[in-house]
Amino acid sequence: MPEIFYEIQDFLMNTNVEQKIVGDNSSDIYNTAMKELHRLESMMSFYKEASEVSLLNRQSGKEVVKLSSEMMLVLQQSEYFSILSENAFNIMLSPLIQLWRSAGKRNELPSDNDIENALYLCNSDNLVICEETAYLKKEGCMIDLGGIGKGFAADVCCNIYKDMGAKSAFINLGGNVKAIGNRADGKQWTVGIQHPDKPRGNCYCAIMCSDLSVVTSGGYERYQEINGVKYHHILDGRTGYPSDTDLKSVTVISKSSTQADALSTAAFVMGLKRGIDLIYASKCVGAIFFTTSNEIYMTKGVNQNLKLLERMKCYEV
Amino acid sequence: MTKKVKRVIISSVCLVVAVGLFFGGKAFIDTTRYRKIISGIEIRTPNFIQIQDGTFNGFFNAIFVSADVDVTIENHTITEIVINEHYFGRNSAVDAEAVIVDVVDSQSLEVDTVSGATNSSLVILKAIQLALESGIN
Repeated sequence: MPEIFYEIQDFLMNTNVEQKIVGDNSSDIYNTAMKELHRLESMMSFYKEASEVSLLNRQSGKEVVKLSSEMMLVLQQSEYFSILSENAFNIMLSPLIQLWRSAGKRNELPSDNDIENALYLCNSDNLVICEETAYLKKEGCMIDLGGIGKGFAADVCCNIYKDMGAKSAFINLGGNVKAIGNRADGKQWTVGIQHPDKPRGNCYCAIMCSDLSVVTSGGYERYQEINGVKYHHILDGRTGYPSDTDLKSVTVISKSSTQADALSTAAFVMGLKRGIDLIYASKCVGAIFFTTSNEIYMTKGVNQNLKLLERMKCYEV
Repeated sequence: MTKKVKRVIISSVCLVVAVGLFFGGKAFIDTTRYRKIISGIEIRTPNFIQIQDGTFNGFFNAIFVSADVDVTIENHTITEIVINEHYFGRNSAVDAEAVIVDVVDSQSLEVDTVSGATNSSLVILKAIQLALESGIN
């Protein structure tokens, strides 16, 4: 009988990490995956002083920085998703994020002037990427890999699971899920999708999947109140405000968790129509859009692996 | 190049620049107005005792975003809110085909994990992190 780990939970990358690994050496696999997660956190953390992200941010407006090949890969992929989504995905939004964070503490909306100044630094053209180096053109520019880092880490972990011979496994990094193989009973993994209007853990549907990543973005998880109005955490770098569209959440299904992570944020910011266009342009497996009218729109092919947990109007686009 | 050809080219370039300035300027003005409207929004709670029973429509337009809702009041309490339209940007219409999707009882479906939800709030997670770090020798 293979040794099985069930529901191992850790706290890493500022979030809950849940792993389930099935294989003869599942404890070795788990330990290797955890070591990698710590290493990736040290590389990509916005808050750790010694991370490559902090190193680059400290040199903004000053010097070109040589980075590891892995870090360069993350930056190159970020640049690709920015271009594909016309900057709806943008790793340069940290000045804007900090502006809204301090506005929330003061219970006062940021001024137009402050938003303009922050947006000037958030322009993705301020990040220059070459083969082994990166450069932030203006002092005050900062990168934050929060919109892609968990997806990248999930891909790395699943490669470890496969390389070390796991029969099946999944990892859930703060809601960012990737699974390999099938469950121990031979059935596909069942990934629930959080209902945007109900308490945590309540799902409106589930995706049956093997060897896929499922990532959901929505404004319901984190928000702050300013003068009695809720402002969620997903900022639109084109307006300077939290995105305000016809969507409550977007779920992206992809073989790459890096892609699913970036695209779910971008599609949420872009709204239903342009989000659908983005998903088809990206050639990922598919996506589900939960609209503000409480309807479900899904791209072609998703329906066959989908189970609804409550009656809803569904459309295929 | 003849003088006539040069004049045509220069006129064409000027026209393109003028059109660009017009639409670029309009976009800048619209964005500025949008931000002004959003920052000026005040949410006030009405005195429900003064509201009669019935269904009432409300509409708010902030240039790029608008919403049209119907609110039903019974016995001075909101009993239903219907979002008639939540418009975002241009070209918001989508070509879609209604589909039937299997609905299953959540009790019969064993969900392995949930996408889109952390297991506990960020505040609690941060407290756990600090507690763990304080226990390190």
